Amino acid sequence: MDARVDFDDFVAARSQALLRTAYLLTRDHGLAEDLLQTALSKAWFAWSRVDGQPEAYVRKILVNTYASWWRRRWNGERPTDELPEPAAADSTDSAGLRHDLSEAVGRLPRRQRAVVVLRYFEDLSEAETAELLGCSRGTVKSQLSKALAKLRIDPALAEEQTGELR
Amino acid sequence: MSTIDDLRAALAADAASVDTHTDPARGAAVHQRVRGIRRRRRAGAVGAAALAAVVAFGVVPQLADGPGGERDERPLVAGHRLPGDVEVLGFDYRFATSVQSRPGDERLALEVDAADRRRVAVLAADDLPAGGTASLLDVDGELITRVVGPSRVELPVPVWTEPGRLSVRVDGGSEDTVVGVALYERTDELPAGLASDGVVFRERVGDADLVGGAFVDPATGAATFTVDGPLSEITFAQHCDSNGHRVFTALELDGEVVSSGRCDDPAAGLAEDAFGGDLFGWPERVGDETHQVRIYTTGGEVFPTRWCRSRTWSSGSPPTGRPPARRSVAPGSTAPPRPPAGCGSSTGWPAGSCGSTTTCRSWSGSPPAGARAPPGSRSTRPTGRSNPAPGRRAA
Repeated sequence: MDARVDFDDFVAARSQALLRTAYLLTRDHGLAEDLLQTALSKAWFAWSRVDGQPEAYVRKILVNTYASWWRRRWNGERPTDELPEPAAADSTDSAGLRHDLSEAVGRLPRRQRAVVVLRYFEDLSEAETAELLGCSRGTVKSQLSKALAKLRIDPALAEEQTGELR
Repeated sequence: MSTIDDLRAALAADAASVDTHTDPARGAAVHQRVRGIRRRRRAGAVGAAALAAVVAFGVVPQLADGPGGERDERPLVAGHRLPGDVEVLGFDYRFATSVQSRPGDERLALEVDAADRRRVAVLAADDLPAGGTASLLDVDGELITRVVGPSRVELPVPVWTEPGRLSVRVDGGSEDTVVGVALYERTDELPAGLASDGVVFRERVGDADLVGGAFVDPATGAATFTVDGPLSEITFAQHCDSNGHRVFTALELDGEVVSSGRCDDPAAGLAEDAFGGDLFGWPERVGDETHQVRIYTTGGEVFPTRWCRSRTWSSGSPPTGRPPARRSVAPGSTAPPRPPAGCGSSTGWPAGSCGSTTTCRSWSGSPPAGARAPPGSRSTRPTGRSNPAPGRRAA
């Protein structure tokens, strides 16, 4: 990097894109903002050491913070006497399908969800995803495979799925 | 049927639910978290150092105040590390001075001297209980800006250039509450845009881009330029500085004089932002066209010819519900004034000359073509204050 990227400029210019990733991970706007600000705060202290691509660096902090965060935070699950009635699926409604898919992604374990988001929203390669998550490519492949398998059998997608997720 | 494409679409749709605009408070919120982390680290460091002193002569870790541990010169005000430079409407301001209260004080005052350049103030508060407020007031006790607890830094707000007293009043504070004010002064840097002699039509104003403009040539007292696009999407702005002379300006649009009036000089020290005045447009006019714009100055009377005809809202009501301007044109020395409130009888405007279909052919001065300002009376620093309406001009 020719010059240190000004932190505030970076926040102003790129934090909204990171917020989208945070939202896909947390599926909650408030938590996403919290996660983003936590990641940015961590990045602040190492800003001069950020080399080349600050956004990738912050995204790495964000994803890993999310992964560790969930272990110590309430994950939003609420006990209830009666399960809410799931909305009827309409196979002709693409918006409904997307909603079901989103819900299903939200039920994935956090690491699998992170892999799905990084691969299919951020369009990172397996190698890049592995680098970002600090694991091997094999782990990424297996996590992705498990994630897709879970989506295939997710009840919300039972009407639609025919084993096409691959 | 679910495919990877469906999955991508679902993720993209979910992501699209996030607002596209960056929360302006996010930066300050992050810095607040950083301060909290530093405080906790300091507390930990002090504890560790005390322990180390007992066990051995340990070294207290050095804590970074700025990004990456580099020492910076940003002012520390009320527990907040403020930026050394701030940007307001594209203009840069540099830190000049600051003041902060003692813990628990409910009043804070800052005497400011006269300034020849614009200033902005940043209000900060620390340990302000939730629901408490810190209000920055001007010399008359009028509210300028306010911090509502908990602790935070407000966005920069303009303050006057005259000497006076800024004061901060704390309501609902605690014995630990500290408030502070930092003053910043304009630098000589101008934002990107059409600039001349220290005056600039900014490249971007709100959501509008600069699409054309010119400054009057001092040698000819006139300038022309071309702008493409429907007038309904174009907003005009004017800047005129006559240096105290009796100067009139006129604007021709496609050969028709659509605006004229006496030069309304900007206040001293406030002239650099040519878009600082009113904006003006023709929201009802449609059609993609190329428009020829001519601006000129004259020392004679105004030229109200057909001025009213060009406006359907010349009855006096400003256009309301107008869609946000998407493009702006910056004629260097003319900008159409606001619609006339009474259509000008007191200004010498011909009676009955207003209305959307009336042709106003009366001239109260010499024809605009070839009009020139007399030596010394020409506007040489065209600016962004729009002229008052003709009706108000005569008042």
